[in-house]
Amino acid sequence: MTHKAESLQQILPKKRNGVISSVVVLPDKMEFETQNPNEKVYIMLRRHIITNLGWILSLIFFGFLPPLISIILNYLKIDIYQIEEVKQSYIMASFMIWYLILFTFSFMKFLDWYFNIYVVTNERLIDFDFSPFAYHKISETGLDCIVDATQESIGFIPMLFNYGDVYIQTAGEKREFDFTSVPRPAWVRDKIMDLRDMIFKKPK
Amino acid sequence: MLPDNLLFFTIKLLLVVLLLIYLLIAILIARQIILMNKAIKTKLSGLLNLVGLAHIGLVFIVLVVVIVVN
Repeated sequence: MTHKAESLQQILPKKRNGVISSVVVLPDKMEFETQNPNEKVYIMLRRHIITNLGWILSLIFFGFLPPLISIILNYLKIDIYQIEEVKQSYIMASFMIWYLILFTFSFMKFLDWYFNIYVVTNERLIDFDFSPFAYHKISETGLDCIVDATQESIGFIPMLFNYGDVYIQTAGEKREFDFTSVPRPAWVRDKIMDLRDMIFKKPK
Repeated sequence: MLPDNLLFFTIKLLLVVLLLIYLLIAILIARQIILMNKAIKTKLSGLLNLVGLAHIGLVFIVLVVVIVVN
């Protein structure tokens, strides 16, 4: 049995526009360098926000470490300012450097998350990969090249927060597109296939 | 053993060299942000460019503080 391809309104009924959201549907202010004149962005995806939990927890821990050490030293009645070799200005400089390193670390982690974007347009899928200093890679495939899509959620945390990987098999040179740790993988897989069917009028 | 003054001078010199390398890294990060914002323009693009520049400023301030303090 064949069905008529759905309309965009049916596939993506609601806009979702968060500034730091993992799933953005029909974004208002999103453009990319190689965007064609009539190309429209339908979905923009990032890794689930919970994947940032690890570095946020370590940031909190290391952020509280200097005051914690100070409290412990106070408790042990050790006043480091009384030690002749230790100058107050050096302690202040050490604090500044410590927090500067923490800021850089968290900023790089945030950028790593923020700029790893998967975009679904009315023409193609684009995978923006960015890692500060390591690489900067952009790959794409036409929607018409999509053969099939598979979703996978492995582990307790992905199951709990409903995120996982979506593998998209393509007929192009790059055989597989991996959308890693995206939220609602079933929804993502379904929408990509629906959009492909809608645009290329393939019966369901 | 190194005399106190020489020891502090060595530590300070080491910190200054490290912070100069850090400054270079901050410039590279800011450059990467500008490149990525060109590749993908989002609502946060302007703010991220600004934070990249502020980061360079922050490293520069720490470098000046380390040079100035005795």
